[in-house]
Amino acid sequence: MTLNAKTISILDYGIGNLLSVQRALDAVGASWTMVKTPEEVKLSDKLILPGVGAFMHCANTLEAAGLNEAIIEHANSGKALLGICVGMQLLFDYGLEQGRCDGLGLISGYIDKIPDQQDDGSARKIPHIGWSELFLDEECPLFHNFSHIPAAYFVHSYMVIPEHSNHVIARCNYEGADITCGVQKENIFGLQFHPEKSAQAGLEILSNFDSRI
Amino acid sequence: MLTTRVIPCLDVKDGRVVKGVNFVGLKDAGDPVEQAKIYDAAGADELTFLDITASSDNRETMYDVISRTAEAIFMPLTVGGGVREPEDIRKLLLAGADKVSINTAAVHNPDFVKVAAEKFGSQCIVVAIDAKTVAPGKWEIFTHGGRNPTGIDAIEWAKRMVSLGAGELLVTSMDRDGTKAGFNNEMNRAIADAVSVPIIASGGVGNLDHLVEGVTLGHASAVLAASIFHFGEYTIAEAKAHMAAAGLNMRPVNDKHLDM
Repeated sequence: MTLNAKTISILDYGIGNLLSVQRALDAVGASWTMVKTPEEVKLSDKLILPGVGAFMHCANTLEAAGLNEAIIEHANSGKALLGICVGMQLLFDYGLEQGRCDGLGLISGYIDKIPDQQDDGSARKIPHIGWSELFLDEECPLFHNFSHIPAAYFVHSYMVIPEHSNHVIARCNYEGADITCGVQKENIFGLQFHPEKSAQAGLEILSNFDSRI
Repeated sequence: MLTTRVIPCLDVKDGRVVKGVNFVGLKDAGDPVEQAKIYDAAGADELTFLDITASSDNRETMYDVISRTAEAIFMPLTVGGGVREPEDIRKLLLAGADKVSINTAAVHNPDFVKVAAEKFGSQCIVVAIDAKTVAPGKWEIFTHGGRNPTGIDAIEWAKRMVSLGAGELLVTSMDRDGTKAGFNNEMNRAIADAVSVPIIASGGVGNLDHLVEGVTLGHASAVLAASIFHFGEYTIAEAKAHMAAAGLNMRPVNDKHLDM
């Protein structure tokens, strides 16, 4: 298998439905291919790491498929990596959902539950489902020429706690909780929300990942 | 800030929209995909298809509808109606639905919700709760379009569904559905305050104040409506502008939206 340098590889490790990511990439004219094995990851140029459900299940499945090393190697080689939702969470050191579980350790930090109480003691609805306004680092190429409504669609109960604030490229405020929903460490990107479900704003982000990174 | 979702609901029968609005310039008002595109462009935050196809022979048409819709719009799509077993959910998700709504099957077999949430994740499991007022401050689950009482208390049921793994609850007041008298906000609030997950209010919307009250009085995280949008009484943009003016956080309608 040879991969065109312009092609985005979507990692299929048996987690979740990847159809919507494929369709969104189609909609912005990006070419994509599905990759499954460490060898295919090594041949990839840009790589999307999806993820849905529980952190531990995703992390264990990834490791059982022997993909961790290939992804880490990919990231260390300077090639672009984009984690979406739990795929973003996997980029970090460890998660605490259903017990402590190691992630890929590409970005310093961990994953913890969104607090179910607000500062005033009232209940905060979990999961965080719906469209939240984004506060963006406009310097990030993912948000280049961002002309659409800066809001995105979220579904999550856990959030990343990055160790270094300079890795944060997007934040949202969910009922008083400051949530990191976009990270970048050089060539490694992560988005907590679903760009493939975030209408024009999301398509623009995917288009930027295709053409500007 | 989290914004309040406005969710138009389309009834689909044998692959055709039953009560679609006849927008000017729409080639085929009965095509769910055309309707979905209109609502997407108009700033809807999510879309719900309710499959009211009677015959199971025609179920396959729904998968095609979902698939074509998911190719055309990039926002969350929930599909309900006739979801009875894990295989139904698998097919709907593979076709492109983001969430499925389980209704009667949950009443007949509550463990179905647990199995579904474990297999597919709570994020895609919506449990639809159809309830009627049976005494002041007391609501009961009904099936078959509000005809059959079950004896189940709506609040206890809502809590149980969440404990089994429902990620959201779609709460429809069978007293109000079709009346245009507004949501049953007392019931919605009682349920919303009793559970940890978001609730979507449904049933009875007749004007834009009702949408506001669904949130302020009913504590809903999202509002679902059918006829006020389909029959062109109000546009999504008008609904969102009205809700924003009332102080609710709304995702603004895109500047590029169609004039409707």
